[in-house]
Amino acid sequence: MRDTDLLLKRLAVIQLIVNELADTGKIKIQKILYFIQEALGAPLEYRFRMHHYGPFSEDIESDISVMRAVGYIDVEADANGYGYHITPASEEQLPWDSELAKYRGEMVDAIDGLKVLDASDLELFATVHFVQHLLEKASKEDVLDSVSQLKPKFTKQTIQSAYDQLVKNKLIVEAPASP
Amino acid sequence: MPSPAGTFRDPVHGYIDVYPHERDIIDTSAFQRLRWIHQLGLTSYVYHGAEHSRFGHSLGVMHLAGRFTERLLEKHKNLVMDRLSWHSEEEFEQNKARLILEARLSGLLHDIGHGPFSHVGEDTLFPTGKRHEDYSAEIITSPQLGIAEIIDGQLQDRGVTTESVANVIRGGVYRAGFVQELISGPLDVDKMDYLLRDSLYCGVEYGKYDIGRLIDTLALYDEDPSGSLKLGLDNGGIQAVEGFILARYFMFTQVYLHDVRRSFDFILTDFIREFLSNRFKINRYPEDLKQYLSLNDNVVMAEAQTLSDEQSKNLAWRLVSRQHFKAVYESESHPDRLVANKALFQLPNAIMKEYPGIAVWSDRASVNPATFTAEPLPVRQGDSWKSLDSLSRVLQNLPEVNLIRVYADVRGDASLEAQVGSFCNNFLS
Repeated sequence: MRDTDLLLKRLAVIQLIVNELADTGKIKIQKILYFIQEALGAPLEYRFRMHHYGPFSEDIESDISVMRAVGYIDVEADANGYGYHITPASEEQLPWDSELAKYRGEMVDAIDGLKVLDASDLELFATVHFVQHLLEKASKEDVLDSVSQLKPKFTKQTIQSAYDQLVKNKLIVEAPASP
Repeated sequence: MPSPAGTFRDPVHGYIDVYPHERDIIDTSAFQRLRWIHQLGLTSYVYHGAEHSRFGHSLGVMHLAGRFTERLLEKHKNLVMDRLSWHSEEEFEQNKARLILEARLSGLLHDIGHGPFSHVGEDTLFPTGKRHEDYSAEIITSPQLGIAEIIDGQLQDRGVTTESVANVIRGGVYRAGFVQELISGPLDVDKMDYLLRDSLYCGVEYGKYDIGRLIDTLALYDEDPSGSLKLGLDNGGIQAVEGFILARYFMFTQVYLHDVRRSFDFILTDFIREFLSNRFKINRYPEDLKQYLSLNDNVVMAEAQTLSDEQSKNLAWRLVSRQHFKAVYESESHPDRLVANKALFQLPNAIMKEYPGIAVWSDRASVNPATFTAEPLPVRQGDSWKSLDSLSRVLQNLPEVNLIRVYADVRGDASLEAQVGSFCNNFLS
């Protein structure tokens, strides 16, 4: 039925994230889905663009709206006007097809590792990953420089530390140093 | 800046000047193809004036991208010089010209990779993970299609490169992120142009808003912890942005999500898939750029004319005779959660089980007219910034549109259509 199969896969993963995080925001969901697809290879077919807060997919926005419309999550605006509180709203669990289920264990581990980071750290981690993948043949220094240009107030040390953490968690392979 | 090489008379923005390199790009066959890509698919089957193409829209977006970029850079000269490390007046002028040229080229070329009938089939006809922006970036950078040669050949001494324009369009790494946001973001010049243009050509008034006030009140937000500059708004622009968002809301509910137009989107998608299968032996758009660029609305409709068969009531016949599928179920714009859930996930299969042999299409449209929910729009109030969502009662009360429809191919049988319709209502009650 058209893209309903793909939609169900995406919604099941969003439900898993919201359940694991209990109370989260849209930026966190965006970034965790980014890693689940781009680092773990889960077949969700989102297309990410670089936005102000790091890699972003419009389809995720739309899927969050669907999740709310069909009653699986609640989305409430934060009192200060910046961001949202997204919480589980249903006991009913969406089905997982066998192809997606293969990634479930890895997804839970990744969500566990990422959920302790705040939205700003996730933004930096996802940006570093995005830049590394975009600049395929670049050296590690080039990647760090590019991130630094995009996020001038993050120190080189902070960016380097995010890079090393991604390598340590096997979310990226370390690029060679400049020749 | 270079001297203009000519002027286009645009129905929306009036006179639009073009620079020599832009004129040369417009004259390439890849760009001229946009004349044969309708801006709104087959919306002209509902609003007959909607015959406009991606060609005019691209010129409009180029024009607005240049105007907004210039205004923002002039308005925030010192801030931009500081954040982007431009150290002298001369450096500012050179970089300002470069950013304006890159913004204009990004606007001009952002849609050059659209497939036939614009957004039709974007979810299912494009190769996995690819969108029209990716084709746009590939077309621009291809050494065979002439555009890269024009940009790199004529603008190299101004610091403009094909790669930087492609990066703005595909959402890659681009240092002046606010220019990227102007081309593709919640408050981008793409939406600003298409609302006014679609409204004019459809003959409706819904898409109008005060663009002059937006140009005047758009600002740069400078308090993000990452240090990068983001689009924001002066306090005096709140009503202009509210008007823009309401225009978008009405255009979605009245034009873009019209049931007949959506029905033709499905028919076109299935017909184009058959067409691709016959012509290229594939069921998604070809990766090869020359093959891809050989496709446009006229080629598809010519094939439909050839294959149309009234007796079998095939897809080609539906396209040339304006025979669309009927929506046997349509939810409210803001449906009850349980009903929406059942309609989306259970109803299509239930219809197919009850009426074997009937083709069924499930359509969901989730649109948040105020797309600042993921990336809040900061509004300057004196010395501090607040999010637009917290300041605008209009936005706080504007609901998302979540429309669910089920279409069935009842082959013109009114009695069957009534039966299926009543089955849907009983199933959901």
